[in-house]
Amino acid sequence: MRFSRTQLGGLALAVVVSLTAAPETAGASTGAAGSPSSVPSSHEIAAVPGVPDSGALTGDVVLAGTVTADSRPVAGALVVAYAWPRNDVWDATSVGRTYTMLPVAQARTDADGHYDLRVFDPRSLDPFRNDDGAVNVSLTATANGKTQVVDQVLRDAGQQTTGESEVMTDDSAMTAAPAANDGSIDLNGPGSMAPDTIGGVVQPAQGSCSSMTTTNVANLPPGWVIVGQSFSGTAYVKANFKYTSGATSEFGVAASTTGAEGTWTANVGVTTSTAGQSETDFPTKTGKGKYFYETTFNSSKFKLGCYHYNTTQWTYSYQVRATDQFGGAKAVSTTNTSGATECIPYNKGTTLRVNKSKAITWSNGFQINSPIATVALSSRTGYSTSAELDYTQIKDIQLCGKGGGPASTTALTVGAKAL
Amino acid sequence: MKRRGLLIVTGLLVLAGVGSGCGSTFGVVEGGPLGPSDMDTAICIPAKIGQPVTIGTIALANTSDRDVVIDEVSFLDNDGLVIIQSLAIPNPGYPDKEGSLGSGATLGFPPDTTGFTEDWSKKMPTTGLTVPAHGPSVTWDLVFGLRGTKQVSAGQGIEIAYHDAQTKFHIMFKLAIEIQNDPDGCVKADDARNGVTTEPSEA
Repeated sequence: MRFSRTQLGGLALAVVVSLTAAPETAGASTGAAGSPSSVPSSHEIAAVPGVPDSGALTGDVVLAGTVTADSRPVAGALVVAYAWPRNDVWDATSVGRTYTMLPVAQARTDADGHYDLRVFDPRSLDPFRNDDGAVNVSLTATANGKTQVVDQVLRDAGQQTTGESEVMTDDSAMTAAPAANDGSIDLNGPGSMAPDTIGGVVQPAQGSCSSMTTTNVANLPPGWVIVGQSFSGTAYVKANFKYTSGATSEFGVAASTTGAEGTWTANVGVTTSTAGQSETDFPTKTGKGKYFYETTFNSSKFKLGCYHYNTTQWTYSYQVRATDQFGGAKAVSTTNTSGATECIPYNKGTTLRVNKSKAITWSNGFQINSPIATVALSSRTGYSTSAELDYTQIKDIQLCGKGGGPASTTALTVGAKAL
Repeated sequence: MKRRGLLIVTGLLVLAGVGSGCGSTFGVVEGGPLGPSDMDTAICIPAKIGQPVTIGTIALANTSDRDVVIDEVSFLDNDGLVIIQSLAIPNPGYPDKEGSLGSGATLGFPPDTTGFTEDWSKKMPTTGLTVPAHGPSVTWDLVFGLRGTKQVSAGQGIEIAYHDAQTKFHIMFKLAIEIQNDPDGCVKADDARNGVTTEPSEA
């Protein structure tokens, strides 16, 4: 799928980027404690060459948000969006390969810390669009000698979450945050670029990233990912889940300043990954049972490099992120419940097939266990029209939805029960 | 706030825009106060040719501040489906009530409404129905009485033309409906789609 100019009018996300302010700068704030007064940037940060300032453009906003420090907005921060290569590029990428990520938009925050990103020509995003049209970007926010990075996904308006998506936590009861598209990160949070060190001396990097690179440092073993679920409280139903070629899942990104095992923080931003070229058809489950449907995805450890034009220095941070589907299919029993209570009858012999639903997020649906990184990332399915759930009624039963009927908005929480 | 057949766009992504999803063609605005619809669903029910069935899986609510009036409800790419009746049934309190909400996919029309939370005593024809402003406190379930005229009768979506005091609207709910003149027709079709085959037994 490709965006038209018109479609890009709806390509927008709201993002909050929290930025760690230097103490002296935070102390320079004139606002009372807890007031919304903005923290001014300590100096004018050089813009990235060759990318028009969004403030000078009149096109549609593709991304908007706020930069904050200590919960207060930062004025004058420079925000730049760097596009990642398409997901399928990594399929054939060997370890050690480096890509230069191109800046596609930049903006400065206003007195409220707010920014609006616009692109000069929407077609400039075409080379980075994945099969479903989504564009993965790294956002950097630079102010006060600090650069913070958070990943986001640009999607067509029709594919975006509305803030109503379901959030599920799987059986292991971990508490990783869901990868909602809000992009917010903690103060002093992970993902900040570590300054370069020369001869044991930390170099005081300043200014924006005039160039941003990503290097595949290591490939991690495939990990099982929850991509679907079904629930039945009756013996008289068959459930079949398909994860079709082109279906897209969204994953949390793990971030670390050093990249060392034990330093990873889960779900700092989000990225997408697309199913392989063949359909993943999961085992049909008949009768009572609650199941997660899982397939495996590859992931890699990436080193992000930020080149500071002002000081000719590099700063770095690390990510672990999903790259592409590896394969495999299994249905795993779960003790989760659907919470579906809004039920309507379906007669024997009827079938209900639901392709599209609200997005479902499993807060720790992607388990990565390797010596490089052990982390549980969120997974989300539901944007794509190719993730499909069929129910076949063997006798008269009820199908139930959560927050709506089973045929519409919450397909992946559909449950079945006896009449 | 969640409703069947209704995706209420809220929160941070408002700027993504109803505007981008609501084009205007020849003075008719796509989507409008009864939309947008995020549905992509198919229902199949086995029934003999001519046998009435009930399909009720769409809820309507008007989230604008103006009443809207439904002008016409029709099936996209209708191939053999006959609409016996197209009704709107008020479903007060939805979706807070638990239990059987409405009509689903069942044989017979009108359906046995025992246990339904829909108030069938207040059913209205959809054509000419006024959907009051400031939904979804008032939600209407869209219920069709249908019969098939062919071995496989089908429609690919539900189209609704409606208007308010100033504007004409059109919305399409992507709900495919199929009536199979074979008790096992829906299951067979589904199995075929899912790659399930029945191996011939060996003597």
